[in-house]
Amino acid sequence: MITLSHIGIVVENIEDYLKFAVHPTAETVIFDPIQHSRLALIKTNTGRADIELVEPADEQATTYNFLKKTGGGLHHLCYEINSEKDLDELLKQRRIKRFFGPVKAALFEGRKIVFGYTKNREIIEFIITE
Amino acid sequence: MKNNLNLLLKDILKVEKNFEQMSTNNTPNWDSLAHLNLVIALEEEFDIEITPEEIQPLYSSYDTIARFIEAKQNQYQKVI
Repeated sequence: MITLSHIGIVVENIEDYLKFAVHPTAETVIFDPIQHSRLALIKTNTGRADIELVEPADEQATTYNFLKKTGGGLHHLCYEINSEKDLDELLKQRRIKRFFGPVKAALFEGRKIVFGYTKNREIIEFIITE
Repeated sequence: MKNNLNLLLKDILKVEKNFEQMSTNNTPNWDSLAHLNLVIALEEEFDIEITPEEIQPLYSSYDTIARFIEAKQNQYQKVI
């Protein structure tokens, strides 16, 4: 089963972004050394998707050039998926190119994440829930 | 091989000349999204597979990509 987990937004500064956000409070703010980014999770309390803010810390962050070029904004959709086996099947079926992961994600209780790129030119993150 | 590579770079990164001098430092359009588009195009054009671990090191220069394609093609020829 696949469910939408969150929408990822790249920002220059998390605190500045929150000043003008519909949901002004981030529940968790951490630094993730693997992604070279500060990350914040905004719980929308909608029972649906949450919002992740990604603040690249340096040039080694994969979102660094995206921020530099676009000034930030909507970056990825994230889905939860049951297992790596289910993910491998989905990537193959939908011809999604895996380009990062699996790595443990500090923001999601150490669960593994994978990033893929679709033929529609979208970045999709997957959280493996097993 | 280099002619086909140059055509891809022209198409994806909008580079018109001096292909062999290209690097991520002197090519403003070569951002992370463009790089993913380039990786997918390289796989299709040269019939090679690029693993997730190989994607980031390719984000470097023309020379790195050209040598990588050559190595992959040699590798496949040995298998065949």
